[in-house]
Amino acid sequence: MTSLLLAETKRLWSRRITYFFPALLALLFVAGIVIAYFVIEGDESNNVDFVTDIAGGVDAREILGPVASLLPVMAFVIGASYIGADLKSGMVEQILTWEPRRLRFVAARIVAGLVSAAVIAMVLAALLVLLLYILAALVGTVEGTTGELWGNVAAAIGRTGLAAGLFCAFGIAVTLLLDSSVASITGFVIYWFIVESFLLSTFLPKVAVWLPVTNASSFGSGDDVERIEGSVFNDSFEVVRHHGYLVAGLVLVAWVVVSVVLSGAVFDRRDIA
Amino acid sequence: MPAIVEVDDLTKIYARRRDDDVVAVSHLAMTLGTAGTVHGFLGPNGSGKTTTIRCLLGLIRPTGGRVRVFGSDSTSSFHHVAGRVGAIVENPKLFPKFSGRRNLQLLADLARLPKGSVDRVLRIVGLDGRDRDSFESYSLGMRQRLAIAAALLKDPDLLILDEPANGLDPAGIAEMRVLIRSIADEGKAVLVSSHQLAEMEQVCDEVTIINRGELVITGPLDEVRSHGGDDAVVVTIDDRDGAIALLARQGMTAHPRSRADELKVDVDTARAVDVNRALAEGGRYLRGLRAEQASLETAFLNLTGGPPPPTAPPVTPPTAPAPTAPTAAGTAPTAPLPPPAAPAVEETR
Repeated sequence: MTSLLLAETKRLWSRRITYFFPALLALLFVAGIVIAYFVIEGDESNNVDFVTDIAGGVDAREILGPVASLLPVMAFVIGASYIGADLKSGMVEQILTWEPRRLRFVAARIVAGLVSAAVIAMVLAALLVLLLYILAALVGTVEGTTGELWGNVAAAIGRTGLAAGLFCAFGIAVTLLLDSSVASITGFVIYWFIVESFLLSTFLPKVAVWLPVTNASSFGSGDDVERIEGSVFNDSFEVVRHHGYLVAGLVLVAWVVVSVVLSGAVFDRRDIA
Repeated sequence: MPAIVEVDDLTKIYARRRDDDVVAVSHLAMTLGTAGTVHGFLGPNGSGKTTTIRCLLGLIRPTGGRVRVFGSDSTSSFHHVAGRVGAIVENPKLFPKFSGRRNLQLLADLARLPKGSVDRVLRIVGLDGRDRDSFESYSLGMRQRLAIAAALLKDPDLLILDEPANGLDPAGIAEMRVLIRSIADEGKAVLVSSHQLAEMEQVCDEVTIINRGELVITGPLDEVRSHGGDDAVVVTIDDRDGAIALLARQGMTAHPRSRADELKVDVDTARAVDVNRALAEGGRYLRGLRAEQASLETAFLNLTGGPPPPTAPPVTPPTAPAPTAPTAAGTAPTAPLPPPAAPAVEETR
């Protein structure tokens, strides 16, 4: 299993897309910070405080807000294309003549994808924090950065990495189920931005609190999952806490486990032809 | 000791949602029992060869019957013997952007193969000079060779090659034949599927022929080929009726062929010289003569009731209406040649 895991990790890291998306995001981060620097620098009244304005307080709940959605989406795409390319090229068939135990193969892919995507996401999140810190140091203040703050920042980076890793595993599982990376990526983007984020959260809020995107966002940011009670159409509603970010993380894990088990069971019985 | 490959009553039916189910393989039985042999798995396109091979490798589940490789059931426990089996299924399937070496190294890492394994197989297939080029830049023949290198990486006891000559030019096909033979000569069993019966006839020791998913025949090559009819000598001559009468007086039976100037003499190819002499002594000079031997193709057609194999027109010599010696006919083994009494007429089939 170790050699299979190492080979699968090597395979993931030998793909261009594994570098392309993270590099693109890193460039976007740098470009965004540079633009922000020139905008803020010319404004004498704007004095950026790293703790309050960027981190959102000592609990650092806003520090990774800008990338809360981007990193899981990136991880899903990396995972989906990782298995999808091999399904399309027939390489899966080749690999299965070397390791015919399909569940081991799926497990190795999932673990390789999860760990790799988590590492990538954490590096990107750390880069973003570093850039924000430099920005604040250049055009504002970084006073008040305590050990507690950095502990919370590190926890946020870790949760973001874990969420991204889980979404990479989710991407692998969904692509295996659908037998196509194009279908899974398209379906995922539509689901994320339209079905869950808009339709379900608006019309079925009781269901939405248990869905993966809502819980991933909560887990990454460290915020509670909230539910709308009442009707948003006549302004007679209130937002109430449903569960905390740790439960949200467990809900996310449950979604990934279910999808992985399902995809493994389907793939194990599928004819590779 | 279990057979290397044992297919027992194998049936595979592909379920279709809208159309009728497709029976890809029906009650197929075959055995590959000896190391160092090349077993041809032959049949027309769509006859179920690749489906059978996928069942052998545990890639698809049989609807019925059993498939065992080195005694292990392919569906449930192929992993016990996967290290002893190298395979190519249909087209070479490797990463297009990776170099040949990198592709092989990835597979070698999967099985923790010793260092030097990649170099060894690259040398065997003659790709050691192009190993750093990307797979997508390879010609079809090079891709096939790299796929064979991948299959050989594990130093397998059984090599399964599905249509390895597909898309190759004549030189590539000849190279492939030599390679397959040399692998078998090293003591490995080779199962090679193909729809090119004449090609496989040159390299196989035993064959299984299937058609429409059903077994037609299986056995040693010579035994299967004997179903292709008796050997004969085919003569090209202007006065065909006169020649038939003349040969009849010599005790040889001749039949007109579909071509107006061609007749088939029912004699062993070793007696071609007698045919030649009889006609020449009777004053009837032939324009062409060739040995026609039973082939896998004729055996297949005889066994399946298909149309007779097409006969290529003989090459007409520029002059020399003289007795000729027989030559090897196409892919058939060469007939014993008498010393030429006149300029030989070379014919091909």
